[in-house]
Amino acid sequence: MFTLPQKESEAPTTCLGSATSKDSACSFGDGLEGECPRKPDQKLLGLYGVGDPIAMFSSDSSCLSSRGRVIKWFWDSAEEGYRTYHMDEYDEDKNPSGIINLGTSENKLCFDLLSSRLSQSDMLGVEPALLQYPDWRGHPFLREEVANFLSYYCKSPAPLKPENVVVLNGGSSLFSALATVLCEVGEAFLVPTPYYGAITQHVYLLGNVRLAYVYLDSTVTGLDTRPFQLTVEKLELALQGVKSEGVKVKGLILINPQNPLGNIYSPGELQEFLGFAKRHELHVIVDEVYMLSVFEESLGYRSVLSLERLPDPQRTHVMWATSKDFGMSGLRFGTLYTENGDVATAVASLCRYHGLSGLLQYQMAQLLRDRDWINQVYLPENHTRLKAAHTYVLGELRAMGVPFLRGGAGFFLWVDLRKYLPRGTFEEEMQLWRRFLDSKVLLSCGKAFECKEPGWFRVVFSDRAHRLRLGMQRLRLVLEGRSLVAEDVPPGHIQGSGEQHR
Amino acid sequence: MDSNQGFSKPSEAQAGTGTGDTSQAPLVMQRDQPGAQQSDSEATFLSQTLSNRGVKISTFYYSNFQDYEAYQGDRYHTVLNSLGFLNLGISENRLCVDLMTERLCQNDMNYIEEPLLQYPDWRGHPFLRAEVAKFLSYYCGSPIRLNLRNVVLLNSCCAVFSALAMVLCDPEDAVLVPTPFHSGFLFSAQMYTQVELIPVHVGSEITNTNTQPFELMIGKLEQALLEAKTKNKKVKGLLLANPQNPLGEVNMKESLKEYLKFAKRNELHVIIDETYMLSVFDETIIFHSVLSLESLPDPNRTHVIWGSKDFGITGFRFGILYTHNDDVVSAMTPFGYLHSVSGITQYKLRRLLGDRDWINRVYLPINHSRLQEAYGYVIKRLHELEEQFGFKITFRSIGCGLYIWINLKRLLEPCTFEEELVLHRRFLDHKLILSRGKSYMFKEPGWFRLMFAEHSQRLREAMDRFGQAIEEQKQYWIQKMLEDEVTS
Repeated sequence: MFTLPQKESEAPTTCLGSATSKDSACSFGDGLEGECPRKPDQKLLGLYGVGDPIAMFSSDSSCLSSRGRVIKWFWDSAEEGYRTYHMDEYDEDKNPSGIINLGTSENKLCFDLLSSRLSQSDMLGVEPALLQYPDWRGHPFLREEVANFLSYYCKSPAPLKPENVVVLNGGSSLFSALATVLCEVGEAFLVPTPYYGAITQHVYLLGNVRLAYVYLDSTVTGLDTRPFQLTVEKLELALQGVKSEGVKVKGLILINPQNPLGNIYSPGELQEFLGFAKRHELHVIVDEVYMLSVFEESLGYRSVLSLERLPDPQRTHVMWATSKDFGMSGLRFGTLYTENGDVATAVASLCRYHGLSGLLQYQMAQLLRDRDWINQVYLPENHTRLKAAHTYVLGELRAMGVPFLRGGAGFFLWVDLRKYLPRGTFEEEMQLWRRFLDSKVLLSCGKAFECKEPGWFRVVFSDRAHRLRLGMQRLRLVLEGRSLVAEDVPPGHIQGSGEQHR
Repeated sequence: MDSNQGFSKPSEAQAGTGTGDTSQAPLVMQRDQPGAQQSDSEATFLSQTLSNRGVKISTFYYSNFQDYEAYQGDRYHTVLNSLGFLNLGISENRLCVDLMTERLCQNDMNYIEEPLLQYPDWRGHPFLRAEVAKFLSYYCGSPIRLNLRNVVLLNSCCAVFSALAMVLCDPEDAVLVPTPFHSGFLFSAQMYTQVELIPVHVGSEITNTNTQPFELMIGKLEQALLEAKTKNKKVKGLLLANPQNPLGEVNMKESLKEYLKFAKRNELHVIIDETYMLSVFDETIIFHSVLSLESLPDPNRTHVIWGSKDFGITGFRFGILYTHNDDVVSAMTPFGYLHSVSGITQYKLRRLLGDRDWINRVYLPINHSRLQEAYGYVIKRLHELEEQFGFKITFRSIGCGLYIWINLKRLLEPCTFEEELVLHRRFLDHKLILSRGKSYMFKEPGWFRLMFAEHSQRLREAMDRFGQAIEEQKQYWIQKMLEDEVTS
């Protein structure tokens, strides 16, 4: 299920993937054959794109197969920041000049609470069935706990059923499995950008499925009420554009709460997007991995499972995992909830490759059923800490005169550094990202989220105060160094004709 | 009971909740795939919502794992479900659960630190990879100290094999596999990797190419390779298992070297599955890991797999690759995302593998003696059946692994795979699951693998059911013989 790249290469890519929104002939860099597409409407250009994760692949000789070389290359080029970070991690005592990681979205604020809970004696359950070959969709006791948990926290109108639950080793595996069973090779999921870029690999590595982008931008126009707002109209236009390029779209991915924007879709919006999907018979994968990390209650977040009626329950599939909400991205536990028995069964048939230890399943069941601890200890404290960290970073950004989206959910802020890019290009964004890294602070640049506009960065704030302080300090130093350079150069001397983004 | 119960046709499970019409006529799928436990007339289903690929995968899985699914939904329990399935078809060591439980409950296992809860190195936490390197150095008898950078950890040996096949082979490349070979990898080859497995038949009879039963001669490999090339197939590798599964043989050191040299001559990768390396319970047998060789003919193309069988913790979900090839390690790393092992599990594994004292003084001796006992018991029962029913059951008496490869062809009339399936189903009717020769890509009908590493009371019950099924089969066989005589 891994196809090889053709030689045509697309626009240069800096982080993950690249977008093509061209009227070129049947070349998608992956051997996809289709009818030659019509030239798309002018008005659609800039509203959509189709991902080509391996556009820049170049081969070298080794013992590996062709696809092995592609995989290796893909990995090498995509993980540079994290590799650099792992070789020089900040540590208060051992490596105070190491890199502060404000790029990876992990909640490091509540380790004390988690380790205390996970060390309690009820977590040490060892039974023969847990050590042996299991039911691949997850031990029944765990699936029942998941159904109860989701019923309660998603506030579903009716109790959710264990037979609609499949558990596997993380959200990434779930994306991979869903891509494999819902799409043929080379088909695509629609995803509004900016989006959590790692999904590109999740659906491509084993499933060989691509992403088709619905580009959103920061300008608030027409009936929009906020930047990067997704609307049904934009979805319709993007879908039309993607289809005109001969790419078959099978589904839509919605991340709610949103990553990297830190905002949420209202129930009304959700209904509209689901309605759009139903009209076009698209599956909807709703990634609710941050559902318990909405620390700004005024946002009024509601899970898709809380809706009275789903427009298309057979094509609505909800993902959740403990990785983010419980700060355990290393534990590798994710769940699927879907009323579609075929889909659940098909995903379960792949679970042999995405299984998780029986002992871990036991621990997760213990955790999920401990509503007292979750409601009275963990959630309140977690939200307080997230809010405090969020407020701190907001304050710092304001003091620096840096614009940002306020957010209120998740662990990050979507920050506008466009004024620090004199020509407003992705090359400059990359340079700025490198400068941050050289100054020992790791951020995520907008290109990694397939953001249409250069200059946006995601700053993660869910770390301890002293690290945040240090990280923000280093950030400020770079920006002050940078902004000095931009202001010193008179407008007439700016090279190139790139538009100045405000 | 929820829909764990075997594989119900999905269109029955919808009950009006959806918008699509899910009641479609079943489509009969062509079947003769490796790993197939059932016959050729399994129906698949059409789904309005799955992709064709999704339907294919789902159908393929459930037709191969129907018994497994049935077992999960109806497991034997002495008190609560004494009519449930006894599964001697999957290979897992159930004899030392008490030892493992005790060890896993000790304090050093219950430890949480931050890195365990956070995104890990996708090849596996360095602390565990270092422990694995030490463990393999010692137990494989490696002349040099093995290095953690050559270790990759994924969440099962099947995932390791699958990922390895993807990075070493392109779609439709081929790998030579001496058969019989265990079905786990055979199945994996088809799920994601699209690699063709070319069976190299290792027969049970002594012929002029086989000086011993089930001997893999180099000539056979050469011939298979030649044949593949004339059919324009790109053979990229050779898959071996040592100890073998289902045969239970261990390779002589010299044989190992010959296989590796053959591979090197032909620039083939060698993937060698040493999952049962610590399950050699007959002390007179010496196991030689490929990593114990003084030097490997082609270190960049030699890849070793080990996993959870030796400790009976198949529920842990882990598998290990050891290879000197840096590019392979690098290319395997992204699979760590999708086949990841929890940080907490990795920690426990590290403590387990690092406890050499406990392994050498407690676990291995007791495990081996229990394996010996269970094995002896099954052999005794088989002999009794032979006497009772007056026919010969050939089996190989090996002393390694968790299973016996037995030949029931004298109960098949005619001796075909169809009749093998009839017998397999008869066992199922008696709520006993064995695995049959066809699923190992074996050419001769009538062979079954019987896994004996089961708790003694259950083993007794299982052999009782086995005996009952054999008795019935004998009657059926007599009937058929009489019918044949009448018609002829």
